[in-house]
Amino acid sequence: MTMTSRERILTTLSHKEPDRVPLILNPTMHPARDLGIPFKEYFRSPELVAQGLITSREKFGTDAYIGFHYTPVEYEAFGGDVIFRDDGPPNSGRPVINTGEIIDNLQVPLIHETPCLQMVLDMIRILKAKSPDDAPIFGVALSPLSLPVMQMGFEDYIKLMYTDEIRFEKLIAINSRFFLDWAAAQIEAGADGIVYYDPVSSPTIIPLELYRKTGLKIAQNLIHQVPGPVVSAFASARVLPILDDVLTTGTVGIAVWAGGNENIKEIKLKSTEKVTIIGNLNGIEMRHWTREQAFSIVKKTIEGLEKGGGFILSDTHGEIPLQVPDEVLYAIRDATREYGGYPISV
Amino acid sequence: MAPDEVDTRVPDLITALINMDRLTLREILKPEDGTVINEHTIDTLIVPALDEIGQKWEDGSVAISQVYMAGILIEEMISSVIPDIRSDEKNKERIATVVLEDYHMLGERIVTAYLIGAGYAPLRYGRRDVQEVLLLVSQDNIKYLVISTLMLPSALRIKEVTSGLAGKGVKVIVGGAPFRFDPELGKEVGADRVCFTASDAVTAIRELEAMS
Repeated sequence: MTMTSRERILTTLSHKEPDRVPLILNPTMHPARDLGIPFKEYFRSPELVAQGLITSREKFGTDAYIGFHYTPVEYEAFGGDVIFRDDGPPNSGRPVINTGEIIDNLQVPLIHETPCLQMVLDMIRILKAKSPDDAPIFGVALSPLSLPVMQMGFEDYIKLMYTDEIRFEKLIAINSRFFLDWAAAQIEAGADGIVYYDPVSSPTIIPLELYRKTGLKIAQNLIHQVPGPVVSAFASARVLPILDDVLTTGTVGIAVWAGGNENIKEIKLKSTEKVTIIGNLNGIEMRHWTREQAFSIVKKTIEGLEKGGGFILSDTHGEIPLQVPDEVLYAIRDATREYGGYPISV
Repeated sequence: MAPDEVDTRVPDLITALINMDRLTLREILKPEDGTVINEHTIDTLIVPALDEIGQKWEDGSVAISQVYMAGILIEEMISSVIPDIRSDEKNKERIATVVLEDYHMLGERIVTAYLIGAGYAPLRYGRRDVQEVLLLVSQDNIKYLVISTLMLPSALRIKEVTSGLAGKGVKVIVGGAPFRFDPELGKEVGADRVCFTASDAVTAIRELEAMS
């Protein structure tokens, strides 16, 4: 029996086998390109972004909406300037925190008074109302530990972590209050769950012992306070060394890279019936894939991971680069349908 | 470098750098018996240690925050102990580091620190667009240009830099996240070398120097 996208996602999150492996692709810029609308105009419009997500779902067969406009929206809420370009996603500009005194006086942005956040909430409401089916919507919120990379710049933030524990804790406290407000607002607007975007917690970025003092405690404290399911994402960084810790945070899913340096099958095995594993197609490399390569890679990725549910096929980063041709995304969609049907026999 | 030329204090230096132990670092690099950092120390002690830290990041046993702090500490030591190293033989050929278009400066900052640790004196161009890079490289007579990028679109624009520098004798060394995920990207943008760790930039320049 064919399931709806919602049934498919919920079944795999429950560690049972759905009708086929769910697929999540998030080509944020492709709809604007197709419409011929400049990115700055597109990404500032809740209506256009909502319609773009619906169009992408229809084209590429994704089983969930990732309901966000651009990564630096929270940095923008703290006063940052977003840089728009015509060949890539919007990026954060100069840091908004460049002295310790700014942290001392930093205020939590009020969701209802912050236009860029209202823009995202409006988009989620429109998406919920206009989506022609019941595909789940995931909002996105940066972890309090990872947001300072944009607020301060990476270099100053690393120095803060190692040299000024008091101000570090102040900043984390402010960002934590903001995170909870922001996640709850997205759920209230219609999101079914939240992607907790936390690359700094990865051992690629900070050592394990520092993660256990910081990112782990923050996640353990916050995730269960979100009024909906939370999926943790580490933005193409390593996760295996902290996997046992992440499993204690209350997250229901982990988006992983697990490329040449990590074994995704090992990650899946350790996570069986605990969390759902999401990944791990290489979004950068797929620019070059032929249809045959896409089929081969999808087949190889699915093989061995799908057993018992708890697996969603996706890219490694949560955002497909503009330079990836539609034909590759069509091939990933078609290959998922060909090889991902349960019982799997790839 | 032959194994017997590597200083036996390399493991101690690595431990001190990863633990951010300034006291031990000063004991290793400026011991009381009067030994000072010189070219030999850089080649047999500092560069091997930085290279090993780069390898440890590559294999996942140290984090980028530790790689960064190690570079900063080495830079501090080099600058404070032998500020005149910048006039030595190594800096006949000019080196520049730049972040192309992105606002994410960490990678370039680490590479610069590692180059300084290896005795080089790179010019830091900060964040620049393609035309600015081409102008600066020409004005400063740069021989080795080290470009850091975080975002794929910025990495792809390196092709405009390499095209603009074609036939001018400038060697372009690139690094950053997109290159880690696409092994073909360096060739696609016309780079002379691709780096996966900060210490790779030191190796790349040394190899290119040896070939020139």
